[in-house]
Amino acid sequence: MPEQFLTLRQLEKRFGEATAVDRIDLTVDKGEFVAIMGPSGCGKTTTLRMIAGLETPTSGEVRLRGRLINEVKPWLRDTPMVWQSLALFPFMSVLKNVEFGLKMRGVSAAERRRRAMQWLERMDIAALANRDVSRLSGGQRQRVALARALVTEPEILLLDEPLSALDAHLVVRMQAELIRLHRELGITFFYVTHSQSEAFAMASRVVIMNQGRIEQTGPARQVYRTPATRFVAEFVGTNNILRGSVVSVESGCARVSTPLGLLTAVALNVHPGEAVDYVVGADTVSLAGVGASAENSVRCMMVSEQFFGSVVTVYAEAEGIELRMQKRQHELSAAALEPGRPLELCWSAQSAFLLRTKS
Amino acid sequence: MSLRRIGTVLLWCYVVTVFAFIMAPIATSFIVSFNFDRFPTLPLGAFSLRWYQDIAQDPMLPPAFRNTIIVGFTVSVIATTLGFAAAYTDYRYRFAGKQVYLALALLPPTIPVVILGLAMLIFLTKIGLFGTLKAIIISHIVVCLPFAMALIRLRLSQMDQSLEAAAWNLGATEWRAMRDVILPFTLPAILAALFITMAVSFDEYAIAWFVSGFQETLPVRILAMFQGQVSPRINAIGSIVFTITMTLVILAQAILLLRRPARAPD
Amino acid sequence: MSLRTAAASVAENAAPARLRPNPFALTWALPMAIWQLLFFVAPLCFLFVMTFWIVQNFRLTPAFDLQNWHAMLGARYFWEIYFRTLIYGLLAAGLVSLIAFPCSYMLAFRAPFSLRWFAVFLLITPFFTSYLVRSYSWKVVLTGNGIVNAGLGFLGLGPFDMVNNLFGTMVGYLTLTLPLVVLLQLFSLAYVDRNLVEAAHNLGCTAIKTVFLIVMPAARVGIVLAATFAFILSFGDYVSPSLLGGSKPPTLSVLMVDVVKSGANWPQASVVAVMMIVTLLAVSFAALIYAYGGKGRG
Repeated sequence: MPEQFLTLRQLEKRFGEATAVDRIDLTVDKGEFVAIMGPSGCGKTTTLRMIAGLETPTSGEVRLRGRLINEVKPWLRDTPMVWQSLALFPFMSVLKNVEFGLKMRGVSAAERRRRAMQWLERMDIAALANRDVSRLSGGQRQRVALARALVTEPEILLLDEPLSALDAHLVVRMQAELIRLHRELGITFFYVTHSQSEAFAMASRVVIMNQGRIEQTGPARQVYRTPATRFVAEFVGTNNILRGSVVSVESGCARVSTPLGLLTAVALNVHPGEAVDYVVGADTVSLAGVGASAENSVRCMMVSEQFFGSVVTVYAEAEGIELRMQKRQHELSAAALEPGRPLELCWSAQSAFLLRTKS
Repeated sequence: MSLRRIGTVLLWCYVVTVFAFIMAPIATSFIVSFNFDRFPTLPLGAFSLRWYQDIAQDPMLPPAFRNTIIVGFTVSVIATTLGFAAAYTDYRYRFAGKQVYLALALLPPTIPVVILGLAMLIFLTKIGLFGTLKAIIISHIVVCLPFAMALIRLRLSQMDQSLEAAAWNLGATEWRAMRDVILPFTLPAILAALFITMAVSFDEYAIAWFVSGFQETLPVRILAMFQGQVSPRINAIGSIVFTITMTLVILAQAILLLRRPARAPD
Repeated sequence: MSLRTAAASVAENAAPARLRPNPFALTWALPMAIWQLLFFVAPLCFLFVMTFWIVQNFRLTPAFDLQNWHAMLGARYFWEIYFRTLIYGLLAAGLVSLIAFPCSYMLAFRAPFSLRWFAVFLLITPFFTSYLVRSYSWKVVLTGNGIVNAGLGFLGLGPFDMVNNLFGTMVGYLTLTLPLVVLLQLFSLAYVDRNLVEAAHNLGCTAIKTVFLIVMPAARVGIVLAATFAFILSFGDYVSPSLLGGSKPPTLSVLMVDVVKSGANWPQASVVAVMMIVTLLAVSFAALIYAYGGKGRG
């Protein structure tokens, strides 16, 4: 069993009456790239701050390498962070910024310089060593922040939405950079973000948080394909979710009564009469008549379509409920789609699944 | 020209007039001090340095000037230190009674100086400090502290809130972070505070008059000279005082307004 | 988002705020508090205590006696001076606010950014110069044969009595308060939402009407605060009424200094001082309520 590197046990943080983190349990192994995701206010940043020592837990434990660090001061932990605002020291040059952590550790001036320059070269910004940080571009500042955090060769790197201020094309570049670094260094990356694309692009494991609780955790693909709760289904990917109740179950297939009629889904452990959420991913929905016939089909009317790169999301409406279909552009180029056109959408029972409705 | 245009021109003339009113006493003080006439009138008399030569020979002035300098330097250093501490406390901490704490620092300018002067006179006499430079220094610190605190607090509010935490995160203790991050960042405001508090102390006449006894400062000497005849000697001293304070204030503003170089494009 | 999580998310982004007393925090928090308590609050409290002491046989004796209060508040001249000072202060505050407003308006709405900053620079510098010497300058310039009267004489006007009367005192108050009031009004006006002004113009409001109906109410807080400061400064000022007003008639501050100069009756002077403080607190309080009350923040 890989060493349990970072453990959060029943970790709780309250600010007066408000609970920011509501008794969460999480284990992170050495070398993992974990992404914590969730909407604003879900507690992900507070959790990060508790690991860094900037907040003290109200109750519960934070353990690093088995050692309880709840009360350990931030400067005594080895948990460097890349900040959302990057927090580069404006009155210092790039080199001095990167040397800072080493200086605090009492490393000699010559040694500091050598190691800092090494990192600057690694991040491809050696030429900027003596430049004032306020005269750097966004991407360059990012690299300085990374170098500064990693120069002390920590075992874990904390990242607080570091890419949120970057232009879109830089985000992609930096993501590749982070993946490369993670692979080369083999250390644990603990990455907080509200952006799905970032989390799924880089992390091996994803943690979804909501209102201070962990909704689901697991490999990125698994969370995407099989959300465990309605919140995760709504938050991750593009899913169609319908309220319904189970009518009958036979040989692993359930028939569910929904506002759009009787639909089938793969399901185990459900009983007739149960209230469920019927979930089908938008990318598993197709236009009827294209490809093999499917168990579920719904007649609806097209409302609009939205383009994101090569992916098209088609919005349709039936019985006052919105349905979404996501396809690659070339798959839909033959169909003449326009708002107001009647459509028939279909999907297989295998693509759909059921979630128990939480009270 | 339309009515609106005329109105705008008139209003700008008005603005110039207001500024002229504000600047007039400073300008006239210089003019009168270099004017030969004892009682200045129009047309102005010849250019002359006699009043400056006159005050250069006044035996009561050098001690007063020296006292003012000593008080000014001491006050500026201590008031800036206390102001910095209060500003940092306000920036960093939340606690019960914080409003009262801030009121302590910021209320002195709302109390008339003559009242503060009387109160300090009574109090300091009770503790035996009347008539010493210490009395003036103590009182001036009370009055100058708000300026220092306001200036430094303003600068701190411009600081990235994560900056201090970033230093801790990288291994700096609170003391180290203070030394390596907070102080360098607030240095412009600290310098400006030193200058401004010195200027305020320099000009402060009322409290000094109440508590100084025979250890006069320059403003107190000037006040005493008012009892005598109208004389351009006062303008001469005044012009010197103006020059010193204006230099301090202009330096302070220059330090605070030093622009950062623009960021390079991505 | 529920209220609970909204509050939590606000807390997530708050600046660090340790409440626990520790050596580091106390090192920074205590010095100012101790200093001000010792040398600001204590003397003022002692001033209040002093009002109950008496001067017996030329010696200051601790007591709990109301004779000073009776002596002062029972004296007709005290109340004459008191109300005069009050009216002077209100007059000064009103006058300086009126005089400053067109100037701050132009700077806030019609001046380009750089000109505005230059104006601020020009206002701050005299603010810190010696008020004493500036007042003296005016005295020299405004006397019977001074520069102003001589200049007016060339135009066939005057000579006017401009010192040792109310006019002189007012000139002094203006010298004291004008830079500050222009600055405060300017900052307040600069933050008025320009969209409101544009909307008013689009709806047909003339420039002047816009000023009265839109701009002034929006900048109400700053304008009232500036006037309050002007009142506080003028009410307590000693130099203008004495140097430029000739001390005739006297104001409260002149009275207080006189009591100290002649005979050093500190208890009686303290009564005057306490009355001034109480008045100032009452006026400041009323002004704050007016400024922040009404239809929410200006």
